[in-house]
Amino acid sequence: MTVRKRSAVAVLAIGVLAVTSACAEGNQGAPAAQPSGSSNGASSAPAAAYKPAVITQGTAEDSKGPAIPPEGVVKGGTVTMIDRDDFSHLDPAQIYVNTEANFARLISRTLTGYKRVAKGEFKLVGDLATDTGTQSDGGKTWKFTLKDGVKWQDGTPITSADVKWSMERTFAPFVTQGPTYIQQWLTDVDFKKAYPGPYDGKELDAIETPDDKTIIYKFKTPHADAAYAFAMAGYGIVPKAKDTKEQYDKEPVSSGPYIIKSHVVDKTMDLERNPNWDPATDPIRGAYPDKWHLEFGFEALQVTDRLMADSGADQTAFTFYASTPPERLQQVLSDPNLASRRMNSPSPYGNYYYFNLDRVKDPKVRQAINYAWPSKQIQQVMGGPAAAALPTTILNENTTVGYQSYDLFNKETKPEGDVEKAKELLAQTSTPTPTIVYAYNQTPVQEQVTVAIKSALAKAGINVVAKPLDRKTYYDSIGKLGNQFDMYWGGWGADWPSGSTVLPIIFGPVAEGAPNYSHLKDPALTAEMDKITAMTDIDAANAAWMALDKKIQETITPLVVAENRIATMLHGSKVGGAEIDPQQWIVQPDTIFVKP
Amino acid sequence: MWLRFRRDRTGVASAIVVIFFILVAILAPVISWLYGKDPYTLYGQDTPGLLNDFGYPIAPNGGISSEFWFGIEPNLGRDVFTQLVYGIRTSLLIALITTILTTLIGIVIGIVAGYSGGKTDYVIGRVIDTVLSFPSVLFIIAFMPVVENLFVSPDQETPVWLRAVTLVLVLTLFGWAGLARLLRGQVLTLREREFIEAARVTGASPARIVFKELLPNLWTPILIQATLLLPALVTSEAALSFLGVGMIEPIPDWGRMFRRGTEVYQNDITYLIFPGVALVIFVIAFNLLGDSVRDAFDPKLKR
Amino acid sequence: MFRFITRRTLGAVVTLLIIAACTFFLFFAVPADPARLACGKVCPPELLEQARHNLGLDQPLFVQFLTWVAGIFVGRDYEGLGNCAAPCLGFSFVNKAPVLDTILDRMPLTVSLTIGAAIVFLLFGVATGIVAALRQGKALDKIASVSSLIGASLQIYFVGTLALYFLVYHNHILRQPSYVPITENPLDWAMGLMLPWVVLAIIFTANYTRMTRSTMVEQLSEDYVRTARAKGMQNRSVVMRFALRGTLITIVTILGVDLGTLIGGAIITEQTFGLQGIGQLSIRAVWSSDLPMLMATVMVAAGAIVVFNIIVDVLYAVIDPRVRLS
Repeated sequence: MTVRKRSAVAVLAIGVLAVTSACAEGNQGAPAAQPSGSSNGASSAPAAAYKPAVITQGTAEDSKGPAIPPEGVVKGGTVTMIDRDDFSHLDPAQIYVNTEANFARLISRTLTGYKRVAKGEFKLVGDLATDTGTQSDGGKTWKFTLKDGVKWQDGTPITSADVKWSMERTFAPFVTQGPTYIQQWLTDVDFKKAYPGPYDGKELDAIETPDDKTIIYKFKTPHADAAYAFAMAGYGIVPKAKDTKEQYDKEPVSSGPYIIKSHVVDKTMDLERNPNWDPATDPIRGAYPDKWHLEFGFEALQVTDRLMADSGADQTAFTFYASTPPERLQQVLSDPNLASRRMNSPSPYGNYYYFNLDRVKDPKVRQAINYAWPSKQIQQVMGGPAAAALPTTILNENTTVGYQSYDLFNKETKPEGDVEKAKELLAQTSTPTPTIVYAYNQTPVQEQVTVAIKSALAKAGINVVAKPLDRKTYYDSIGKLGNQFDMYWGGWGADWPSGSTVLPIIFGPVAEGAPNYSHLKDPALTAEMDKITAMTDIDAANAAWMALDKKIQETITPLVVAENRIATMLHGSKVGGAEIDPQQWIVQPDTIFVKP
Repeated sequence: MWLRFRRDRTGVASAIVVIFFILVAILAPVISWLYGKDPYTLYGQDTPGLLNDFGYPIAPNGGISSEFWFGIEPNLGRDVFTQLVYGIRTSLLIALITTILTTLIGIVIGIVAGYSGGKTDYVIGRVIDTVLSFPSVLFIIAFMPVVENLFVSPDQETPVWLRAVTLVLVLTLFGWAGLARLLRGQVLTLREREFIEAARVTGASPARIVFKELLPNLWTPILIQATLLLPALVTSEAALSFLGVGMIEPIPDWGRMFRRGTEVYQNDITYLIFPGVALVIFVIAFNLLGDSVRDAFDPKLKR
Repeated sequence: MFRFITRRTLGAVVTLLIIAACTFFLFFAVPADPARLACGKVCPPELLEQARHNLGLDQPLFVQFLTWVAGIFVGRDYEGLGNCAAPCLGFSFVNKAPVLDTILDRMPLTVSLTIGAAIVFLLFGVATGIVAALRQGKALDKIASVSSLIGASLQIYFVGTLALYFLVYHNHILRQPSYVPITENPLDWAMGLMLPWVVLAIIFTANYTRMTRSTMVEQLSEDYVRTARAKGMQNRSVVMRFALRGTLITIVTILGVDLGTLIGGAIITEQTFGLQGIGQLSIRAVWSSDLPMLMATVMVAAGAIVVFNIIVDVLYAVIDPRVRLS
């Protein structure tokens, strides 16, 4: 053959490949929720699409069942839930992660819980208890009374002995995952040493059960917000008579509206109704579908594509957790046909770029970096204002009762960074052109974020040395007390809506691997946090936390507040009542129903 | 031989393309200077109106304009043209060093096995079998961090050069066996030939036999294999970057452009097309060159 | 023949053991403590010790390896985690289940992907190769050569993504790749995997066309083929009975290598099309530090390569009696 022709055809073939793609459209579209073309209103625009959760405390009347039904509710049918991961734990004592906690609502009950009153509005009410408990002895003693007619799946009544047993067993050595607040309040910080669990016959004296309906907790110190702690799924109940220790994780007994009928790990789970659950006792769970079919093993992208397509059986499908990945966000948000099936909510977590105070000692440098921080550019990398919000406070607006915003570093006027102000501040320090060692988790997105940070801080004369860390050991590396980094990202989620589960932890004891990543040691601050924790008036305490939030950023500046991801999720056209729970950042099952 | 090669027009054409790629790699800073942009500045973020709220180029075709010849990168807004130009440097450098190392190791082990025979040959043969049976891609992904940890502790900085060195090392580790096996076979047949026998009988030292008698007869397969190995290594490196264990930001890298391209393709297909087409042209040119080199060396071979 | 197979099998077992040992010992250089992962968030030292004991991590490395190997034959019991029946390739602390269960669950997809693609590229590649060889220098031959040249230079992540863009996303000609078991619905099974098959075929066909063509050309000039022709045998029969037989050996060799690699997990293909097969499973195991799962997927992949090598050797002997089993 003649070789000349061969290469000519080859070139031609490549040309065709290139030409077919030469007409890709531009990307003019902006999300429907905001006017397009706005370049500096980026941070405020999507805020209109949602409002922070409102959480109040309910009365005994509020604690009565049944739940408030969502508009147009229909009972019956089978709903399908598709997600990536199966639940690693079903034993309430081992539940801490939000996906597992969310599922636990279907099969397990707690003393208190959050009742949805309207969209974005919640009340803390009694779940098993008749109300949110009565405190005495200045908040050290908490008394709950169980409702009549609450039963296990086999029909036996739920007693105070069961509730006590459920708390006692969380002290056992095999329980490693769940929350630890109440255990520590009842005994000691090192609670596993104080009491070994109930399995060798020893009872925990700090919990009293004068009769079958009454249970009294006696804490060592006052805790005005204990009613919130009891709402954590990790404090769900386990029947004393049917407790199988480690094995309970695989075969939980239901106290909620459904029973697990079958479970193929990592693949499917099917639920059917629990005949012994009485809606009249439950103010929280609607439990409208007759059956639940859960499917696992689908990446967020696949879930989004299935829900976008909305074909056949997927019309009755939704997802607990899989939010639209950045690469589909533009389509999902610009398609008017999806408007009625779209939900969004910013994360309830606090996300921070911590300063290592052992290394970045000059507060002026820390403030300058705060001013120069390229929040808007990072937001752009993450997918724009529809994918991330730019908060300015340490406490998250969704999980803080009595939230007040403040803007110390001109984030609202200059989200792209106030270079002038930063330079001005740096000029007053001994290091006008500091070098900052920034450690990051080596994921594709974080790599890009780092590029944006490095490029922006350079404009203020700050030289960023980027250190990629292996993603498996990222938290171990930044948790080391003697780490050689100046800044790194870290997150913390409130366990209930109060500053008391955030500030005393991220500015708590400085220890190897502890969540106080900024190594902030300030006796005055610790004393003030102790003072607020001890307050018996919960509203005053919440206001005090909010004020402290601002004071910390103003006087110490131990961190840069990071961007907050916004989840956009879809549900099938025949699914009703789907809403993202703003506290758990997940579609909660209580209001879900299937349209005929 | 040179004449034969010159008559092969495909060979000449592909050689020109290959030289073009190499020149672009060497002259990357000059090109970037003439063009007036660099691969590191975040143009899309610094200049409003280039990227929309989602971070995609507003202008059609991935933001191609007289300003940005090949468009701009989604989200970060860097210039695609300079990224591609500098990306050739990364790819070529890693592939070239790996090719040289792989070939050297392949030659040494192949000759040792083939020439010494017996137990040594058997052991080396088994090792080659084992290496070839390893699921190499999976293995490289899993042990990239391990190899890096040999040089730096996990909480220390991973310098860019170290990542490049690691890539070269792991690619070499799984690359040498094929060539070694091939050369071993060649040496085995050559060993029985009369001229080697003659050399041995006249009392030539093993070193002399290897360097003066064996090697000159092996240059042809070595050169052919090396020319074919280079494009294969360029694609391997790109594949590793695609799977997330390649070069790290901000070093421009084709594989990482692919990775990003496959993530954003629904909204910005152009960003995938440029590195894709560039890689295809590069690999075709190199493969054609490899064919032509073989033809030039071995005219008996029928096409 | 029997002795040959036995010997090759023993050799393969040795190779696999070496690979297993290499993989196993390298794990302990990985900066992640399996016991720490299994233990959870609040992990006091006693519990960590307990987890270490349950997982057998308190044993010397060599003993751990032997235990792992023994587990394949007799199974293992992981205290507090569960039982792992023989053949036990390990127990994942991430999934809390024997790794083999998960692997067997993902296997059908990877096998379907491989077999389907193999049928397409084998038929196409061999057919075009034969045609090209018989029509040397003609237009058909040139087209086949050029397209095989381009095909061989293409990358799955590039062509695959382009195909997704043009065939699925823009024009809806093909379905978004997905997996439906063939037992459930054969049509959905085929339609769901059509795109990956075609893309794999585009890339792999090239090699088969090239090899078939060059071997065929060689075969056609062999003495025995010429003799048959001279004796007046029909062209068609010559090609089918003699030349093709010789070509098969080459085809079987490369097919064996390709199948071995693909069954072991088409990592890039599965990643490109978002399919949940062995390849994705192994990548996931890497990211989540699920060492037992990773170990098992490495072994499955290596096993596939080794087994197909044996099959190729045996087929050699069957196809070509001249190949003495030496």
